[in-house]
Amino acid sequence: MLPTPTSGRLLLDTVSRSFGALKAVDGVSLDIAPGEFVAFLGPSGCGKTTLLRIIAGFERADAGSLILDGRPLTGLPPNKRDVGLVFQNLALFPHLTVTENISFGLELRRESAPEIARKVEEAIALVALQGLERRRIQQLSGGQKQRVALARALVLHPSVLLLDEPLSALDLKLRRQLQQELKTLQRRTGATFVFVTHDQEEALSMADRVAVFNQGRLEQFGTPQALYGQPASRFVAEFVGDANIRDAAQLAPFGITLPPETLLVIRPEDCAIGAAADAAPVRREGTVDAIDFIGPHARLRLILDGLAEPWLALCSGSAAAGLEVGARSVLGFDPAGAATLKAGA
Amino acid sequence: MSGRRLLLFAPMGLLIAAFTLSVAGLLWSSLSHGGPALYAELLMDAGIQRVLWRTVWIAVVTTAISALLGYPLALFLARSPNRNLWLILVISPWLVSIVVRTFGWMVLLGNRGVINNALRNWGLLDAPIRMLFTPTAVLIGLVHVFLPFMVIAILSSLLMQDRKLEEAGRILGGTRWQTFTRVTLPLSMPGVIGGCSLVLLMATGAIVTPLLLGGLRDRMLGTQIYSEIFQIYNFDRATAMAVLLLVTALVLVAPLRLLEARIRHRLEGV
Repeated sequence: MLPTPTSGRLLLDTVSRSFGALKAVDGVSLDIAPGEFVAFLGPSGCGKTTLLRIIAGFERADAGSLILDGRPLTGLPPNKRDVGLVFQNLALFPHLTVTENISFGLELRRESAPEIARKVEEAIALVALQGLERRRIQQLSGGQKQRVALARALVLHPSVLLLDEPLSALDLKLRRQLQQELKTLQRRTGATFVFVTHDQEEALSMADRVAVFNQGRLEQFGTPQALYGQPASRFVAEFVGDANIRDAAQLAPFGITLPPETLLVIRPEDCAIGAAADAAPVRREGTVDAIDFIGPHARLRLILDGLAEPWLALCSGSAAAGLEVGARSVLGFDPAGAATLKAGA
Repeated sequence: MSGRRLLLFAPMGLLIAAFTLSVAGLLWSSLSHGGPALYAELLMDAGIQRVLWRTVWIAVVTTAISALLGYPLALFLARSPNRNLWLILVISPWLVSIVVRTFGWMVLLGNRGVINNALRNWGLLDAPIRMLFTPTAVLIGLVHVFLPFMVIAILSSLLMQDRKLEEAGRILGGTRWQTFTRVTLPLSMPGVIGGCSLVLLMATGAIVTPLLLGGLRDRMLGTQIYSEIFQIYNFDRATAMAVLLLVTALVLVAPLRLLEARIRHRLEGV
């Protein structure tokens, strides 16, 4: 049942959409490869859901074009786009059973009854819902509903499957489990997945590439490693993980000279604390301002001597042992390993 | 039940008690004065049989027309951004007494009424079409009076519906029409059936409209009771007819209530 991985190339060219004075989507261009798992990441109100609805055909774009596998989508209604969508609230049909929900699209296509039965069975097996075929939607658990929504969309083999924060209503444990399942499903079906989320951890762990949005604009589109290692803007550096972002003046006390209009992004885990800092090229003493133990790690906030901005550091629990708020310690890091940013970006 | 909840229940309890007592009184009075013989006589009366049949078909057709006209209107209201403005227009007839509204139809439908005069002036007619004092006039009048109830019943169930369900229908390949017939319509059936029960019940017991627009020939049960009381002063017969009306209305509405309960159960689950 593997579809050809050559379908599902989605091209967005300077797509824009305004609501009154608000630019919900502002000149977004993206090139999504066939079979790619892409996450749209950003805070709520950043335009990621509007962009998703434009791709689905529920919102029109004021400007720009969308092309799916060489076919312009502009003007096509949602039912003619070959795009699937899993809604945030799932939008399962409450008057239909599990099977009837999944076969809904196939019946609209007027496929033959045996064909529909075969495909529905396949889809139910794909999402492991065997035995629940005749259940009503209200009789299912949250995770089961999730799977029905996925099966209902995937049974039509859309070139692109859009997912609008489909896991946001689930508890953490189920969420992690379904993240894994989604990833596996995506590989097995070979469809292009576009996953909207405001959870950066979710985006980084699931997606091949992540598009970070802020105030309607695309801030960066790249692999999770690129986003984290070479953030294109201050927004991305701060939104994706924690970061100490410092300008030349703030780094002068370390004896570091930066070109003008440049910022250095030092990740907390690249900061060494106490004895470990001895090996670091630059160091400074300070006072522990706050300390959080998170499982095997400890997250520290330090006020370094003579510097106003607190520094964040992440170290192993053993390295932080014996430290408490108010204790003296040393923070060190290697500026050569830190990413740089243009100040205006 | 705590004291406070009992207090909340009190007004409804009073209504239920008053209603039960009046129906029981009605039954008692008809049985004690005339007894079963009165009912037998009533049911054998060919005139009453015709009235009963007319009542049933006029009520059913009124309900059907109201549903057919009311659904598109309710759908339009549900989708309109100026819903409240339109809604005022829909329920504005309620601001005018039913008697006045029915007189309005008499003015329109009479042999020398607005419609006949206009048709004759344009040379479309030689003789007036008889519209007033026909079942058609009664149907028109009843639909006009009851349509707002139907619209509001359907509208409320349309507004409760999640719009995302329609979007789901579209993205799964449905045209607007397919999505309507397979998603919107079935999910709004509780509202449609609720509206139908309401209109059917009210149309079965209608008095003013059939009295004014149906005239003396085309009576319904309500008008028949009215004339037994105010023209013939036969209270026993009127009481027995009232019981007959009650039973007829129950027989008509009961299947709808059962259907609605089943559909609601299906939609809302266990």
